[in-house]
Amino acid sequence: MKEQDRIPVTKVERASRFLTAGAKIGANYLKHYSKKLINPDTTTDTLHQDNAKDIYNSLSELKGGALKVAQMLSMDKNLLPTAYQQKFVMAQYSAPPLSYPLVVRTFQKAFGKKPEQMFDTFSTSAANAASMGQVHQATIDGKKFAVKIQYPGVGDSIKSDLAMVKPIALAMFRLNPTEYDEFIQEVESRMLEETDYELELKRSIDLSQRTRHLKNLLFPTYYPEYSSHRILTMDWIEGRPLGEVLKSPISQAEGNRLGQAMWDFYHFQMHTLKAVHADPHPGNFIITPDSQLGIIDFGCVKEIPADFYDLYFQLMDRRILTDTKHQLELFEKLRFIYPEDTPKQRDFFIATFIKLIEILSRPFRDGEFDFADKSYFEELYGFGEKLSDMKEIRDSKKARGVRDAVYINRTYFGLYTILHDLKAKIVTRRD
Amino acid sequence: MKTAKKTSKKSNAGASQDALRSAYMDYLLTHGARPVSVYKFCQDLGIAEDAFYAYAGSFDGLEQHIWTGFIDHVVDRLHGDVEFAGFTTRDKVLAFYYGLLEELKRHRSFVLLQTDHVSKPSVVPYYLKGFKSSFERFIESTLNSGKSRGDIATRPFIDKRYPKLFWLHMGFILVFWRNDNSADFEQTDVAVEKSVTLAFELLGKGAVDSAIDFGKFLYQTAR
Repeated sequence: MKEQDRIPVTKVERASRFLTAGAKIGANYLKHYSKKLINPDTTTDTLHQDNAKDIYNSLSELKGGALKVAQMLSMDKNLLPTAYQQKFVMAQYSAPPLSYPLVVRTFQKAFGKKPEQMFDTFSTSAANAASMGQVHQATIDGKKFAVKIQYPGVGDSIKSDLAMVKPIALAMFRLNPTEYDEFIQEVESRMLEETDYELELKRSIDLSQRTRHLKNLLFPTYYPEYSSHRILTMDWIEGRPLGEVLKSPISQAEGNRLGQAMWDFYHFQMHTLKAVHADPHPGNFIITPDSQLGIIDFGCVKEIPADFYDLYFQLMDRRILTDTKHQLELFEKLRFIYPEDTPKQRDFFIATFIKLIEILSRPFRDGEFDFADKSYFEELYGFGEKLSDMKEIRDSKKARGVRDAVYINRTYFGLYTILHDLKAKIVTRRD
Repeated sequence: MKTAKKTSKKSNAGASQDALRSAYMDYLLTHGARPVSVYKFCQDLGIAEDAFYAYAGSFDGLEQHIWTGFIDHVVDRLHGDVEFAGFTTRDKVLAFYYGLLEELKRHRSFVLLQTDHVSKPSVVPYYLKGFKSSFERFIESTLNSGKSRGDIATRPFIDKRYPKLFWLHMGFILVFWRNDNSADFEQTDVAVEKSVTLAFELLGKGAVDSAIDFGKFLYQTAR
């Protein structure tokens, strides 16, 4: 692999990397199509090779710190490739917004009516981009609605994109294809679920009703009568996205209040509902003018299987750090270690995971934690940095960890990051 | 329906024209071949043979009418839509394609049967002649109003060819739709959306003009 000049730093720069890759890939497809017009026997082999090269080039320039942390939090090397894949697939949708005629067509296919026949007003251009779609604003009798419309053909595109990135990811991270497969399946099934608006509607109604009683949270009402498998209608929540709010400094009290609301929301989902809004991204939260935390987008929900729940949260138990017999048993079940590991490998992975668990469960330990603590995050990132350079980890061909952990780890990673940005002091345990 | 308006120069029996068209399509689809003669076709329909000739001179002519009817129907409906006048040129063309695909969907079996033998899009089959000129007329008038709005760049010599280029694009869409197996022909919608957007980015003032301008400059200075 040729030396990189530098690693793209800012978010914009990173996104633009993907855009250039996207443009190159677009050109590859055009080239392929025109070749095929002239000679119908052209195979897709060259196309895939061209694409693979361009994706590889753009992906390998992205080994940034954030993803290293993501990797560490996954406690194995699976989240890193999956994060790349997801980013890559999402970058495909930095496509131009849907035209209004196509929006009208989507409505007509779903309801047999035009949007303006269903609402008093309907914005002809999108108010916001959403994952895999766009949001329009509509009104009835002055009441505002957010109408999310999905890009047609997204589901098919996800499948082929993931299939295309897989061999590259395998090669880049030197993984064993069979073990890695189940992780790809996890990502694929979550992403395909995100394209199912009927499922999202059901989950949104269900989860928001069951979490509604928590303090300082606000959920939109969802409207099945204005929704279909491509359209999802909910209340318009006034306010600013969290990402934007975080750009200017906010008061300690405010940060604590919002942070606590968010923590309670996730805690309740993890431990009571056993189903989690697995996309804690600043864009999915709206801060209302009266400082409530508005929660939108239940597209990505991870349901936690009962047996996995029991195993995973035993890691939070402090005894795990000292009780070696219990430790071995649990680590084997979670596939941190394998029976066929050499004693050297075994010692290495046990020590590494113990250290990781110690750092990651620290916020839970004393029942209260200050996420503003810079030294904690430096330690966290530093350890992640160190991990990704460890020869033992890079050389292990085995997947360390289980598939159900991928999205749970990602959720905690997102949550910790947001709380750090809010500089929130959190009561992490009330028992 | 309002369709009769457009073809009024020939018609004084609008209802029976529709009946003729649908009877012919029905015959073609259930028998897999044309009726043996106009005489037999009219007899089965219970009309006099000259009523047929008042509308079309032959089955070929009737097929042309059927195809042209698809486009005229869509264009009439678009012009009857209050919103349409306010659309950008790109959105007008998109709305036209989506309307046409909806119309064709209703007669998909007929379209598949008729276009079964077509492999090269460059040769226009006899039954598409009227369809083609209706299409080019629509594109030309839409692009002309786009030029006055400023959506479309005026490029001497080249812009006369735009309707022809759009006709090739139409061929691409039809072939794509013909081979589309996705539910509700969703993939064709995507193809229309993406290709029309690209086309209008090329037609607008921007990349192409800058490229030509720069090329001209290089050519002039290199001498």
